[in-house]
Amino acid sequence: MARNIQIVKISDITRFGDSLAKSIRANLKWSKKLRNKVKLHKGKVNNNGGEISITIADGDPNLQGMARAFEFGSGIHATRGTRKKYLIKPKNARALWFYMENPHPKIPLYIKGGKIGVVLPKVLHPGVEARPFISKAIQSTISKATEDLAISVRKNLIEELRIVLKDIK
Amino acid sequence: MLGDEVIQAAIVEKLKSLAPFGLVQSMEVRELSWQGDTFTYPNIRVDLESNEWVFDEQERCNLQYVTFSIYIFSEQRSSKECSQIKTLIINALVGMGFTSVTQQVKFSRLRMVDNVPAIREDANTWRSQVQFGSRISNP
Repeated sequence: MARNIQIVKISDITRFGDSLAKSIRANLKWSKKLRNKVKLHKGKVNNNGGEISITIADGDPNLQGMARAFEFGSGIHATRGTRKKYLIKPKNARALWFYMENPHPKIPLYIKGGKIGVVLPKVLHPGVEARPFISKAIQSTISKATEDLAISVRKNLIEELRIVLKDIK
Repeated sequence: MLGDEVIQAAIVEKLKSLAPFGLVQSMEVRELSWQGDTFTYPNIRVDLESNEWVFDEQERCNLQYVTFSIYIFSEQRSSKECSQIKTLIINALVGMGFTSVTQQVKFSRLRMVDNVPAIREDANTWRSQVQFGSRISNP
């Protein structure tokens, strides 16, 4: 029977993914919410190589939006698409409530949970500045991880060839 | 041909039978994509990755090869528990052959294909993996 030659092993691809996931978590020190939602999935290998996926905020659309906004910037700070303020309207309540330092005297104030905030029917949000954590992680990891992967592939290839040659003898 | 469900059930049965190893005894052993909603940790998951059926021209017979992974999940702060359970499973299975009487499957000498050290899957979970290969047949 012809052997399935695997030049990339699951352990190699998992190690590669793990170093990238670690780097993403390290870059997300400023957001516990996002950091805790970085998930490394199982690796898969076939005769052509392997694949592994990392998800951030899987199944949580609000957090996904936050991750995207910080990775690429949003609103007037967007690094992709058009730069403009975006409208936020209340979904489940009649008005928006949030904390604001030195609010305009004409804006109504409302106390919620002991905190004073402003009440507005809608806002034009300027967006957030980009704090890229994925691209930064890729840049810092890729060279070392690729080098490690290349060493593993070389080692696996030699091992596989040794087995094939032994079978021929 | 031996079906995927039969092979998977035989592996789960074997893992459950590793009772003398105190750590493994009380653990939940199921298939990897089990669609339940109650999980206890640590737990063990089995993933049947390939089930190949081939005709051996030299021996003039049909052969069946399987590759499967055993995943160990733990929620401890350190990866120690995860690695300990994996070591117990490796020591119990590598080089061994076993037969499942209930599922009517015989596994010839299990070969360890790969061994993945514990990694952080997400904020709370450690995951380690060991991949096995074996030839299977009817007993």
